[in-house]
Amino acid sequence: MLRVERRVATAAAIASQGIGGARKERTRQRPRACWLGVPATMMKFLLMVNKQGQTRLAQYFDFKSIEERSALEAEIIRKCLSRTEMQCSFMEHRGLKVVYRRYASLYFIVGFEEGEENELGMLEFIHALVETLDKYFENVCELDIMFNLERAHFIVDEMVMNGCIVDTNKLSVLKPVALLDRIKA
Amino acid sequence: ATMAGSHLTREFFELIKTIGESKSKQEEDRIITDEVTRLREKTKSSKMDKRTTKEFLVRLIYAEMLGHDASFGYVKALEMVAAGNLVEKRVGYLCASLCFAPDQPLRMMLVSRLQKDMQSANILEICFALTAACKLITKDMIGAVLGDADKLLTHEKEIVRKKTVMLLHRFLQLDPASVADYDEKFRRALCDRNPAVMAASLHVYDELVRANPAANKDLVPSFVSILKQVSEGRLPRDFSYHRMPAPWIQMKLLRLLATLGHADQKASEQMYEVLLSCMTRADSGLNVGFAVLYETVRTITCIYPNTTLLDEAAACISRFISSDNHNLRYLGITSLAAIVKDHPQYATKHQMAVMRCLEDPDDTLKRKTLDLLFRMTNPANVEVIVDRLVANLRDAVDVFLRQDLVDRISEVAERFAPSTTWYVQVMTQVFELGGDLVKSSTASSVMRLIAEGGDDEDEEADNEMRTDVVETYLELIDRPGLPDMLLQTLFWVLGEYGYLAESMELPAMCDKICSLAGRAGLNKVTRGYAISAAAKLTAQVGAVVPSAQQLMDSFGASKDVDLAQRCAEFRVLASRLDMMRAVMPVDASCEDVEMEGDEGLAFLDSYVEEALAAGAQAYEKPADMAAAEAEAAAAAASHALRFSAYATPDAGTHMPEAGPSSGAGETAGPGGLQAPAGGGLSAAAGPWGQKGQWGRKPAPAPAPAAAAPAAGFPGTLPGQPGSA
Repeated sequence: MLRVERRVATAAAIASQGIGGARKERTRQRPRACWLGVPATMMKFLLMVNKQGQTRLAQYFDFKSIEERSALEAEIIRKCLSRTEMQCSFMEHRGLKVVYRRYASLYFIVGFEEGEENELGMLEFIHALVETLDKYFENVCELDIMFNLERAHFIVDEMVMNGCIVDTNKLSVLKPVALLDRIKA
Repeated sequence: ATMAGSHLTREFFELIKTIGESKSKQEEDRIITDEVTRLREKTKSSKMDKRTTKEFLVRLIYAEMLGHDASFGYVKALEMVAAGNLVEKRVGYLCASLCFAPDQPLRMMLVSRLQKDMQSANILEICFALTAACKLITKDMIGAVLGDADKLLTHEKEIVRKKTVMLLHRFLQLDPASVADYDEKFRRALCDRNPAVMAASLHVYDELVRANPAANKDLVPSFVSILKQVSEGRLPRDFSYHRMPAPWIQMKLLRLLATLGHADQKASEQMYEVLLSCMTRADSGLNVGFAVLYETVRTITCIYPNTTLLDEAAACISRFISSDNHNLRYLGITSLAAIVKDHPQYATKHQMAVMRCLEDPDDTLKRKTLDLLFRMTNPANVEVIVDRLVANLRDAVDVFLRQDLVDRISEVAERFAPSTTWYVQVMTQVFELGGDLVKSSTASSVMRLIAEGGDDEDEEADNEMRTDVVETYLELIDRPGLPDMLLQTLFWVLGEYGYLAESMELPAMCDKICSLAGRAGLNKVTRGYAISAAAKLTAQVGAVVPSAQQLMDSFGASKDVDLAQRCAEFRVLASRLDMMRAVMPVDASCEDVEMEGDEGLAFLDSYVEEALAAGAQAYEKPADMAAAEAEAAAAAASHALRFSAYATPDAGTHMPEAGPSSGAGETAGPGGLQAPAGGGLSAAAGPWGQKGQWGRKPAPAPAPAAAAPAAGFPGTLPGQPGSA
């Protein structure tokens, strides 16, 4: 019977590369996502959702259709609500990193591409945003956002552009918004 | 809070009030549906004044935010942008930015408005246009707006310059070529006297540096210098957040340095000092300080290694991991995972803390820890770690997590297994727990490993290993609900090495296998494995066990051709058990089939002659057959109506499809199909190609696959390299 040469060759391969033979290095290469030719951004969305799951403010930096948004918001708030104080403020949702923080009845939620941002930095950004809203509305509460939706958006727009944090300086963020206020509607 | 709602119309106020008071999603839906109807009425009715239109748009935003399409109202946004006062214009832009999809045609109509506003003398108008442009611009609109944007880069107001840089950032994202010659201008933005403009340019550089780190190495000194100034608190106080100087700017700079310093010693050396200083200054005890600290640690692990820095980073990680704060523990695990690949020594110190994180009820933390464990695995700790991973697999419910675990355990076990026995046992557990999540190639690997044995050619040790494996599987055999892959491996193992079993005799084993094989609802591939196993055992026993006979009879007439064939083979071979033993040799699944000089299967020639004489059709190579069919079709076509399209005039240069089908040196010639050299088999180059075993002789009618699935795995032709 032919002494199988292949057996010896494979044995050598096993010895040098581990018991199962060569294995490609498991690389996590995430290609940047695309939607109709619109490139990926850092932050994907910024949401304010209350405990009942009602959306109070939503900004998407990667466009999503109305149906997609509703589905996303419902799933995410469900996940947030099911988490306890004993868990960290970071979670994963369909391959995206999600950072959330609750202020009274309102959840502030930011989603971004994994590896793109510093989770704790995002958490602190949420806080900076809340502080800015607080300064503008003087002790901000959920109702303020509801009755002044466009103003809340103006503020967010000054702080985030293209999904990137652009300004956290309260004075410079609020200046253009304050100027608008002085103009009689 | 301001006097809520005093500036709204009664109608709007009521709407918001009812939304706020609604108790369920359905109730909210009803309210919004009514609202949408009202909004639709408004658009149809007489012209709305500007104030009403402005409110209309906010209500439209509300409706869409709560899930209802209100695109009938989009055109009002255009009106507001064009004719409104500042507030109204801003609201118009907001509505468009939030609601218009990238392919919404109304976007295009805003271009001229954006241009006009960007040329306005009013700063606010310019700012509105810039902000909106970032959201509304598509690739084909860039050209229209680029000129105006360019002029605004040097505007006297920093808010305008800042927003313009972000607009260019948007252009860069959509179409890098559009700002290809903006290098000089970006540099000027980086050196802008206003820190906010500089910060905006960092986003631009983030894109540029990531796309091409090599071309931007000369920026390292600039980034280092800026980071130094920022962390030392030299920016205006407004840029501080809780006394931490511009933390997000620091984080951005650190990230840029990480990309530029990666695997580049020269570049990294310029960074060591500032990184150390950053770390010290960021240690404020506040979350935001930890965020900067974490980013610094990340950068240190990315760039060319420096022991002092790595030690500092490791100390930091230590503090994170042992913190009570869950978020910090999470960061600790993440950064440990980053450091452990290239510097495993730092991980061993924390093994206990890491194990504790694995038990944490927090799902996110658990996942990150599993990720870390996977990266920490080495031959020394693989058994402990795989134990943990398998235990997690037992408890895990989430499908993505389970798939992840299965993939990782397979990979790590294969790479670092201390022995074949251990590997097989681990994989058996994985088959059991992971079922169909396991890749089918894994099962083949396992079988091959058992067959090939250890690399030290120690037959005794190999047989010991195989005995262990057989015993393991014998214990499992009675368990209900085993996944297919496990069953297939089990049958194969018992068929090949059942004779090594100490706890069961071969006839009994054969009985067991046959009864399992006959079970209703069994996957047919698995059944095939079982039938083959029964055949092998029959060969080894030397007599046909009644249960085996019964099995072959019941599936001999199966509709599944594969099963029927196996049973037919068995029946033929069972009448000559000595031949059966030769055809299914023991422990030889990996060995090549010996042809003993008769490579053309000449011994079959007489059989072929007989058959041809009796009127059987000679074997035609598929190419010949296709040519013959084409001929016949052409002949038929000439007498009938033509239903197919005429051939294109260049039919003469038709190229054969399969790449390597032309033999050595032949180029695709004119004419239809090129007979692939090397006979009807796949004409890939190599032993089976032109000069291969089959040569140019007409391949004989394949014998009833006598030796086919017998030795080795089903579907594998014996002796074909690369197909085991």
